[in-house]
Amino acid sequence: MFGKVIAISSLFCTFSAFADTTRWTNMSANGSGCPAGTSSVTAAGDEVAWVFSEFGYDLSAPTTATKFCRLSAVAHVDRGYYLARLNQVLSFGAVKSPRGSSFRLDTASRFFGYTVAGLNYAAGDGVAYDDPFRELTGYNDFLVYAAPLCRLDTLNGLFQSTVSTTGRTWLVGNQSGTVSVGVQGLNVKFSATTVWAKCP
Amino acid sequence: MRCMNFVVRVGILSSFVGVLSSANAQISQSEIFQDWNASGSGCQGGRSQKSDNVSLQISTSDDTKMNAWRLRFNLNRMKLTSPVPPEEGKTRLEFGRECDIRIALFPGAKKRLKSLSAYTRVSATKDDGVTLKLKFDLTVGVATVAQKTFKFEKSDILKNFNEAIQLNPARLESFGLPEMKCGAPKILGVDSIYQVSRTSEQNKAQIDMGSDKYVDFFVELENCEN
Repeated sequence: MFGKVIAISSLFCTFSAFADTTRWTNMSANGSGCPAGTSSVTAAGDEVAWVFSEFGYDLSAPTTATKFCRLSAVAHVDRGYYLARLNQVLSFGAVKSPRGSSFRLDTASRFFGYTVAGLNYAAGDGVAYDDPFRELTGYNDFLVYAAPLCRLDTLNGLFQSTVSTTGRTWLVGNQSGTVSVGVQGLNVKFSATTVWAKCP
Repeated sequence: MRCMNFVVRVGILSSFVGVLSSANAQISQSEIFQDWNASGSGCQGGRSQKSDNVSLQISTSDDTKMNAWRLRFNLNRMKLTSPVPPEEGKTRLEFGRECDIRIALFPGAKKRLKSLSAYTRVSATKDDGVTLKLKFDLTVGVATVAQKTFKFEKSDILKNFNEAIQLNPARLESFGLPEMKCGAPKILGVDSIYQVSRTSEQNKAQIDMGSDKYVDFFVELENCEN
């Protein structure tokens, strides 16, 4: 896929013609990781950024926990452009014991009806983890979709992402492992940035 | 195109209410700073979310050019006390306080961000047995353009640590501003993070913003051609 993207990119060569015309509307966040009043969203130009202050959980006895947050926003773009790139960044903190614990964080996103590669992080058993300032980044090139987007009269695309986490702790001997994802009191953040190019 | 939807106005200049001039157009302060949010365990408020713990004052910092502003976010809840007061329930051994400020900047069709910096302050006192991490980021979009971090180890005893935090992308140790396109809206941000890791629930730590209970942004625009 990536090779295909590079090849098409060299044909179009329109990255220098970025349009800063995105207007975001209908931004929202819903789910167990972002109950009402615990998240915010800010948008300007090509970027939309969410901040969650209650996404985390803390496990200190044998159990499992999951949390998720469903995000959505509508991008409005001038006709004659297509989405050249989508960047996604997920920032979080987590702490876990070396044994008897695991956690993972994932994003699953769609834009203009297309599935976008997600961000994923897994911390398995056997290794301690202590990083309050972790950042996952990823980008997707959409050049392969230029033709369908360029045929549209109006370019209004729904961006949706589900940010989710699962943690698990169990007994090792008579002691339980521990996990703290989204360290208590610290935010989890997610942002998406678009790059538009002129249709060929 | 939102950035082109300027209300052209003539005349009245005001530091706080705000009509701002440029070479070719005048747009209102509220059109340049269209939205803001302050989120986290240490603050919760926004332009559309009234709050008793966050307020914003905007003033022009250069009356001659009317291209520069100071945005002062007053944050009276941003502090960390360990152990937490009993009414806040059980505190984990690892916990923190955070306040992330986001400003939606719409510079106008023939303007772009020229310079950006931020100022705040932190003070801290802690027992031994507490590891303390402090982190301050100045961001433009997803890019961190300046950062200040501190880490105090478990064995350190810290009394009345008091530090001014200057976040300036133009400084040598910083990362510099990314290239700015003419007229491009941007999200500006400052993240302030205090994190403690305690070995026992009795370990004490106090972190706050010292005598200055605010975060200042200094924003300057310049003229440009599309």
